[in-house]
Order: sequence, then C-alpha cells, then structure tokens
Amino acid sequence: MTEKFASNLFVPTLFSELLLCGRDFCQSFARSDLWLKLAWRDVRVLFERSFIGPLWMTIQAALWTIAIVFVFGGIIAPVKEYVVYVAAGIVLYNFITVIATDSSEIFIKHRIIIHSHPNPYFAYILRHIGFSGIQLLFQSIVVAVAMVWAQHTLSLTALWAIPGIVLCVIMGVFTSLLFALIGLRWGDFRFAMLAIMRLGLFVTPILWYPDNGGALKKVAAQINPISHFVDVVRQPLLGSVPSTLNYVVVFTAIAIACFGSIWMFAKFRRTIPMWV
Amino acid sequence: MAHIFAENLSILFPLSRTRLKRKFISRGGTVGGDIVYINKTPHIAALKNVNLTCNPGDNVALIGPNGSGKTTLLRTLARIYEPTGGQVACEGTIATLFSSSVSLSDLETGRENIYYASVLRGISNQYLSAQLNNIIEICELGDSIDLPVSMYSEGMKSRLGFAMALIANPDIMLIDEVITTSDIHYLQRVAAQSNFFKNPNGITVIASHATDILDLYCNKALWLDSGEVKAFGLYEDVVAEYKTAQTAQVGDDIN
Repeated sequence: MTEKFASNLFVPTLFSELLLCGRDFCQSFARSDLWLKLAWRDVRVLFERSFIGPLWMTIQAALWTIAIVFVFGGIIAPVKEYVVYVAAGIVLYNFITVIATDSSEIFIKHRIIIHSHPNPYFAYILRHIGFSGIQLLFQSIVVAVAMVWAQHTLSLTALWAIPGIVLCVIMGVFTSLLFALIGLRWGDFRFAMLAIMRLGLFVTPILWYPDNGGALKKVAAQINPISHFVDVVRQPLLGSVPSTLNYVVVFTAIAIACFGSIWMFAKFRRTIPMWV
Repeated sequence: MAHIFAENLSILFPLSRTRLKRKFISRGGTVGGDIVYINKTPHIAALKNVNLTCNPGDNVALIGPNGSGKTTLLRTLARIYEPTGGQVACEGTIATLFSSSVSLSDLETGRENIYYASVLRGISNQYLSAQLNNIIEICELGDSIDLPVSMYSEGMKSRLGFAMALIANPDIMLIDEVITTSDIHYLQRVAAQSNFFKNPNGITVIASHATDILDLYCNKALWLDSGEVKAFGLYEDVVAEYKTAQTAQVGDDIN
C-alpha cells in the first residue's frame, strides 16, 4: 500500500508552478470586482461606528504633520517650505508602513475565506493594496491643504509624481505578496517589520533633509531604499525632478521584489491553504 | 449535469521543520493521517488513494471518526487544496457551506453580508437581485435581514450561512459539519421550498455527525478512516458496516 501510495504522488516542476502562478495573477485581475469591493468594505467596516468615517485617515496624517511642523518647523527649514515636505513624506511613509507591516497577515486574516472559497490568492493581495490606496487618497488631502496654506505653486515638474506613485504601488504589490508569504511561515515577521518601520521613520528623510546635517545623514538617506521611493513622488511635488540614483534604486528594488515574490509564490502557493 | 470523479486522490500536508515537527514526530504522534517522509521532509498523509465517483442525484454522506480526512476531502473537491497525487475532477458549479461565519461582519446587516458573500462567490449583482428575496423567504430571515448581524442569535447566523450558500444555486453542494441535529426541522422546511438535497441534476456531499439528517437525505455514503476509503456505496450498507466496526472497536477497547 505504501509503495503504491508513493508512486502516485505528483511532483510539481518550477515551470508548472510558475504557469499556475500566472493563472492566479490573471484570474485575480479579471475579478477586479472582488478585490475592489472588498477593499472598500474593509474601509467601511473599519469606520462603521464612526460619524466622519475614513476622514479619520486624513485627520491622523494632519495631526502628525502639524505636530512635527510645530516642533521642528523653523529649526530645520522655513515653516512654509517644511510643511509641504513633511506632509508629503508622512503620507507616503504611512502608505509604505501599511504595506510593510500589515501584509504579513494577509493570508492569515483571510483564513476562513481561503478555507471556503477557491478564489485566486493574489486577489487578497490586491484587496490589501486597494485598502492602502484608499488610505493614500484620503491622506493626500493633507498634502493638498498644506500646499494651499503654504501658497506652494505646482509646476509641470509635478507630473513626475504620477509615475512615482505608480512605481510605489507596483513595489507595494510585490512586497505585499512577498511579505504575506514570509509572514505565513514566520510568525515573528510582522513584529520585526513593526519595529523596523518605527525606527525607519527616523532614519528616512521624512522629518529631516539629507543635505542638512553632515555626511552621515546623506549616506543614511542614500542606502535606505524607502527614501528613494519617497523621493520619486515628493521631489516633483516640491519642484525638482528625482535623481537618476532615485530611479536606479527604485527599479532595482522592484526587480528584486518581483523576482523574490514570484519565486516564493511558485514555491509555496499550494501550501497556502494548509498553512493559514 | 454534475459529476464528481476522483482517482487515487492523495493529499499530503508538509510539516515544517519547526515546533510542530518536534512536538508530533518526536512523540510518535499522528495528526489525522500517518506521517510519511518525502525527500526527508515529513508530511501528514491526510488522504491516501481515494477513489470516488458521484453522479447526478447523489446525496453522499461522509462518515468516519474525527481526523479521518472528511474536511480535507471536501476542501479538495471544492478546489481549495490541490491534489498531491492522483486526480480529481468536478463538473458543475460548486458552493460550499464549511463555516457559517464566512464573510460575516457583525456590524453589517444580513443583506449586506449576503451581498459580500455573493461577491466572494463571483455571483453577479443582477442574479443576486433576482434571487435575493426568494432566498430570504426560504431561509426564514424575514425583516431581520436588515438588522446588524450583531443582533442575531447563533441560529439566525446559521440561517444566514444557509442563505449565502443557497444564493449560488449550485450543481454541487459541499457541506462540512455546520448542520446539527437541532437544524433538522428548519432543514426540512428549506428542502421543501428549494431544490436543496433533491436536485435530480445536482450532487450534495455532506460531512456531519447528525445521523438523523443523513438518514433522511443521503442515498450514498463514503466511510473514511485515517485518510483511506474503508467503504463507498449505498448509504444503508456503508452505515451498517461502519456501525458494526464501531461496535467491535468499543468491544476491543473495553476488553
């Protein structure tokens, strides 16, 4: 019996698993109604008992910006210049933080649904990205208000922020998939990311300028990939085109995340319903 | 027309090299099925060489002790687990009733929950709108459908779960342990008003310890033990065989 049992086992190849991953991606994009509606439901359920609802996302970012400008404004840079810099930085950093910390629980959070419906797994990743995108939209109001208050005029250079946001979202998709798979196997991962992202706020040029404060800060900003993702969106809003180094780091990081996440997905996709 | 076909179907759960492995294997324990080694990695053999053919009109009862592989088989038929060995094919639309809490958010109304359950099942808004009132009536939820689920009793939540499963009008219905003996009268009323359990073109596979419900509706049974099929055939024959084996087991345990 044991011999017969062993001979019947199916050993998947990496190529066959990559094809199945591709099918999962296609099915997920085809079912945009699934993840878009569920992403909006996440926002609704989160603020179900609240009167002003998702505007709390805006208020949260606004309070952070006000507090930071109140403490550091005028010391680090003129208040009107600093407020736009901080608001854009905080909003983008919040987007990156939600991706980095909450992604590790995506599959675990969907345990009951995964065990009941054969939906494509990547759709749950897109649901999370959808929720993070809605948060980014609501928090972007703070950047707009800061610009109006500071009488900051936008030039055509600001259009560079659009591909910057697209790059951040693409990175978010692959990072979420990668972190969701790592978080599924390693329960400590979420806590490690929480600790790293809290520290990251201070080692990323969100509150400070990389050019003011010596060589150490400049190096810290250059070796930190998050600062490059922030820069490809924030620099155009402040009136300058992102540097070549920014784009080199961003594209390299996306390539690594893309390769890593697809490889992990191909290797562990079958075991997702068994491990959640 | 619904069909279910499984040949030499096997499902292995890989055990990671972590606490789970140390806990169970070092103590010689088994979880559900036996532990087998493939490329030196331990796996739990949850299903081993299962052969099964179901035709339209079959209501199949899955019986067997806890950990025998009933849930694993249902999830495999629902295409949630992919076979590690052998093959499985299901023709027809499939709906699952594995948990009464799928998609339930206590803060939303029953109607909103049904809406999101239909999104999860890929049911169009048009179809949902046409079916919804009928389903609410069958499931006897009445006006409470527009109340938040936090105000529902456990029984009402169970009915909402039924409504979510029935909305798909599936060819193949897979049910796992959510039906209890206390649901029998309610189930009879649902069956009287819908094609639940009596669709001549459909198949129902149900795992339940509520034998009075199985007696009432099932015409076939599959007896699983440690992931292997012990018997598959007419309901009365397989259940009689299972009960005899259980009695013998109890006798052995006492002696």
